[in-house]
Amino acid sequence: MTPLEDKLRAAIHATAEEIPADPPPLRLGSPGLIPRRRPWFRPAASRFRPGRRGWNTWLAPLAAAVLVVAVVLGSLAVTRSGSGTATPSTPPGLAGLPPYYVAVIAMPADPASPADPADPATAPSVAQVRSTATGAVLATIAAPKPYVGFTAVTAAADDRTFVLDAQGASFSMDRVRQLNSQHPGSVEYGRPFRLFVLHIDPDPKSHSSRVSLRALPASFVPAGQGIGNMALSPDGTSLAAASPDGSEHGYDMQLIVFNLVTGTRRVWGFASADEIYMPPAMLGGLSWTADGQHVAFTGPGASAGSSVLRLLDTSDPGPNALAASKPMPTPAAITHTDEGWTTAVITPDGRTAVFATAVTTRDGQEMLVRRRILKVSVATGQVTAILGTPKSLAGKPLDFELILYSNATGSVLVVSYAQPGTSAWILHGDTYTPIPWSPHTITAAW
Amino acid sequence: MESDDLAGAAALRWSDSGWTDSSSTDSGWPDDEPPARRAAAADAEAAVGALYDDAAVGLIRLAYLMLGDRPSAEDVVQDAFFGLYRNWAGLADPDRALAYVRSSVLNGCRSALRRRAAGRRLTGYQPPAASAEAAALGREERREVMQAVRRLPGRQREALVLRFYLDLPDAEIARIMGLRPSSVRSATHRALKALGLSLGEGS
Repeated sequence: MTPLEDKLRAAIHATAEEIPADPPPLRLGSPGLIPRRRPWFRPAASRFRPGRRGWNTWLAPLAAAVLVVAVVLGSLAVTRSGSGTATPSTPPGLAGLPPYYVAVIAMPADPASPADPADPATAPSVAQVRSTATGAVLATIAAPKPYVGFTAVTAAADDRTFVLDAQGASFSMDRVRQLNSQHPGSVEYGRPFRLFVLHIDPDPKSHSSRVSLRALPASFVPAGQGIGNMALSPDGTSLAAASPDGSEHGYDMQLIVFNLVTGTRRVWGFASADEIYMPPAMLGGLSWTADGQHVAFTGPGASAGSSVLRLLDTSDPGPNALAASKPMPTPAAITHTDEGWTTAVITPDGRTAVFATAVTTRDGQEMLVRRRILKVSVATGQVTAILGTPKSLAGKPLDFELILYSNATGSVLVVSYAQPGTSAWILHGDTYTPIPWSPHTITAAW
Repeated sequence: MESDDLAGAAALRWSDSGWTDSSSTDSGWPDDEPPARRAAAADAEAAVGALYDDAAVGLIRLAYLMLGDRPSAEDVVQDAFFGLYRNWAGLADPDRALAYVRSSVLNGCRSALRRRAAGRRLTGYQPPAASAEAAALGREERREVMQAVRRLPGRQREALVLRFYLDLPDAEIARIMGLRPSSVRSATHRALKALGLSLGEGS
């Protein structure tokens, strides 16, 4: 065994031993071989009895096929923006945000059936159209069968068009082996995924709107693979997504831009002579400029393991994302200190890179995390603003690591944390204002 | 897994009030459940419970190495055991249950990592404070190693953890990951090479 292997073994075992040897009790849920379905997965006028697995299983492929054409989950709950009848009034602190957002909401555990009936490995979730001003739920959309929940959402600039990423139950191990034998290394996530377009359509007759959900072609997300991050172009016609490349040697990612109008796609890989790997966590920060031509993403930096924000020109004919993109300047305030950035986006006007940063210090046994927002000029690389002292929270620590929204110039941002149970804030200048928010929010988009 | 282990744990059953002995007069099952189904479910519950007793700590630690946080690791393992329980009747070889649940744990870890990535999260590995007992390797050095492990592609990370934590042979790792042994060896080799570069050491 080499010294490196010795060190690795010691580090792995020492880290593992941080978990005490008293696991929590196993919970197998309520007695019964076929657990009950939760109410939110049950069709409103279902003629299928809950728990009758045979019907549901038989119907699933048919339902998926129908979804390719169109799925409309009608809802008249969304008030038309600008109708003057019931448009939510926006509090001053929330000015600058579009009136609606779509949130992916984790469904709380059902005390009567703590283990999920559809797939215990998948946290069930729904999409909700909510009012920015009040947080009121205007429409709730469950993932169509056989999918059991949504994991991500992204929005176009019109505040009407959204794309959701739905996931289904886990494949059986036999299915995983079958897929791997057909296409070695193709299965990363072991469950099916499907992209859906959610659209809010005004209905002039009723002075309201209806929400529709349309499935995108299944071929967009090959079996066993998935979408790690995604961003919808401002005009809603293109979707940039990070996805595994199915390569033999690992889970390298690729950047895909789907044309939602024509159904075509372009793929950029990350192959390099230096064997720079692109693990899923590294390919993030997908964001578009307003021209719909440039996509920003976080990718490999000059040294192993380092990341930078890069800008890809999608009109570049090359297949390599690194060659077709250029790195955005990373401020010295980050690179030369212990302060690291958790995510970064480019503003739609293409002039500013916005970094959410964190620096961790230790005070005795207590870990202290300080978060800041740094705005950097793309043209000069200079930091143009450091926002780290929330004025509206009376000095209370503000924990965030995501940038969910930026207006054209970055003067209005929405930041949040990755785990459900926390909140989101609109950052207007140097003032943070909490947004009405469900504690079960997984992610959201404006 | 020894069959004696399953038999020895068959008396335990989880109900809403906690673990109970199967000799309890309250069976916990709906009255209209067919006897054969009730018996099969009880068998599955006992077998899965026994396996959990034997393997849960190791699997939670395995998930912890993959995910970096304890609550998520415990959730993934709970989910994997529930999946095993649900599919117990269809398990071709109950002696392979541990391998099955290890695969499920890895799948659950991938899903959890994916959900984090879907939230546009980009974070480094942040291990909790080290315990005093785990001080054989310096805290900072261990953190550096684990951060480098965390940056590896998922398959390589899995191969390393299965080999250097569970000490499994390549053939068993291949079965768990659904790969060929040669792919496991390739992933391990690449992972060690990348680790060496990342840590400034030759592999």
